[in-house]
Amino acid sequence: MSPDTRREIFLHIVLLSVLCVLLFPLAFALSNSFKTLSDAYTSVGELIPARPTLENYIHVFSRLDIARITLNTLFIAVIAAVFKVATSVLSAYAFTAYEFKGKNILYFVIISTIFIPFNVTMLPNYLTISRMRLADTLLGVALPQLADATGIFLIRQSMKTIPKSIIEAAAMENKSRFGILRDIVIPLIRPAIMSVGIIFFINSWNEYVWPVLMLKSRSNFTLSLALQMYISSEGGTEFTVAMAVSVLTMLVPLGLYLVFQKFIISTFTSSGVK
Amino acid sequence: MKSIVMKDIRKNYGKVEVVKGLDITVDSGEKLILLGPSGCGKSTILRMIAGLEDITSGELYLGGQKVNHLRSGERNVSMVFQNYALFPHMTVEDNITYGLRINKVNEDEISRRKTDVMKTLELSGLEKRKPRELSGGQRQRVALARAVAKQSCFLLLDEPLSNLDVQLREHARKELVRIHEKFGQTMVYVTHDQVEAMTVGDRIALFSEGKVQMLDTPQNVYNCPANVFTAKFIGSPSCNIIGAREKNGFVEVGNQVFSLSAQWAGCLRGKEDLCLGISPEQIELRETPRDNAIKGVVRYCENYGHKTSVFIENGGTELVASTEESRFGPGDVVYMTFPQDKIHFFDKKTGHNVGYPENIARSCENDSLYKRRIA
Repeated sequence: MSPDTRREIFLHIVLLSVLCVLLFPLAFALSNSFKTLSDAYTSVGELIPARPTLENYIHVFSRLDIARITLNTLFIAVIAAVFKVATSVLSAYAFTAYEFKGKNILYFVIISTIFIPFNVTMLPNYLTISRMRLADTLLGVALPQLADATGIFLIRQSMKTIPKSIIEAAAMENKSRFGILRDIVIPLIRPAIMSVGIIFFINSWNEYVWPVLMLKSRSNFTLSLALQMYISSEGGTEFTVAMAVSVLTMLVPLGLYLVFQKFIISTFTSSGVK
Repeated sequence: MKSIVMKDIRKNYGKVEVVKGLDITVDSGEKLILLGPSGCGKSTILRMIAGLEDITSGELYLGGQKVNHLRSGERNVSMVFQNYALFPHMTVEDNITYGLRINKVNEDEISRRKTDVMKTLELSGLEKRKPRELSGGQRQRVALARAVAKQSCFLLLDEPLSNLDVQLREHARKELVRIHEKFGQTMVYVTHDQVEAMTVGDRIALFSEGKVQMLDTPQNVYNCPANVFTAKFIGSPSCNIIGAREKNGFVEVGNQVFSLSAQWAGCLRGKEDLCLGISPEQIELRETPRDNAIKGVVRYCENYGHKTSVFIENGGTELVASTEESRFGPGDVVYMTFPQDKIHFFDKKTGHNVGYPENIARSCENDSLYKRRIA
């Protein structure tokens, strides 16, 4: 066996063990969502249920308006993702293509907001939204999520990989800067835009603390709140049902990831336009 | 009217002045070469004409209109970038027609111009390719096609051939001249390559440190360099510049002298500290002593095949001579003569050409510079 092959085998063993650790919770959730509560307690290690049942799913669909909850979550996540991407692209473009006084200071201030913990802005946001009479509405949840410094940072980084002369060549043809953004810049950084959008979408999809603060009525619940109903101290101990809700919660982000994984990986590993 | 007029154009980056007061008029349909070593400000000048750099002070007129305040999209200029700057996400034909579509040229006209330039530049068949699927030479031609299809009055080229290999460069050079003949735009061409400058240009503006050193036809730049910088920059190997003193019709070079014609002697009268300039290819080399020749010893030879550069030492100074013969070798004693109609004299302090005698001046045709200096 050559040293190279040995190295390969070793690497694969490491990668496979990491993969197992990462996948175990998913497999655990999936398998328990098909078990009865008593089976779940008696055969904890059994990943393939001996007596699979759809009981938990039936329970979820009969007791919860799961379609409505999914739509609520989708509504918030789509608004957050679309707006964050739009504002990120526009401000990143301003920070890349324009020269203005105080540009660097402004950029620094915006980027430093990445380091402000959520707990600090949570209360002011709550007060602002409730005074706007938007508490307990989906719009109220979405409203503070329309811009994001991380997005500005990531998009600006990828805009900076476009050679300056390409922008200049477009500027020599084009009378408007917006035209250059639309025709040249956006198409060239499309992978970055897609993956940033997906990350925003998934973050919002999984968000718990902010929706739990804002939303009181069940009809406005998001998936992560619905999930909490089954495992919190006030909720039940029906944890197999909770697993069924988890599995349902995972489906959309998982699907998105599978479709767009090419873009997501390329954004984090390559430097965009060559 | 497709002239470009620059009036006292200056460019500062912070406190550093990179272009120091430029007064150049490029006539309609002329090919002006901006030549100079890297960092001399020639690209900055081109970019100011294109509208990609602000003009710190001075006035720029394109076709009679002052354009200082116009954005580059409004100046009716097209440009070929050094790295071509093709849009990577567009096909060849979209690259060529993008500007035309933006500027709402009608579709028939777009397709007519596209077919025309693609045929002229031998790009037919590559319409649907992306830039990354093209070779370097093809990319260069697409960039040129894009600039030409715009049919703007002014064509700016920023070292357009520097990324090509020698053979392609030669071909592309001819193509550029042909394109210019066909479309007749006023052309400003930045390069650091003197061969391109000599072959493509109607006039050459030679720059150093943000200032024009000489602005004239290629022949005059070569035959009557305005100063030491110009003499040294043009020619390969570059022009020999040696300290020399004139005394009673003789010139001292190192520890030897050669005699000057009466005209030269008259022309140099009263000028003490001088430098003699002579191009390597103008030095005549012999193995046997001759009248009015200077003796030297060969130190080193470089053989290029079609010619040989011979490095000769003479009393502490080194000269280089080009010859078609390759019979010289290190250690040989050689005798050099400097043809009187090929030598130049420069003022040692200022570096300026001190001028030529009447009979030699005739070889510098239309030499405005010469007339100015003698007057």
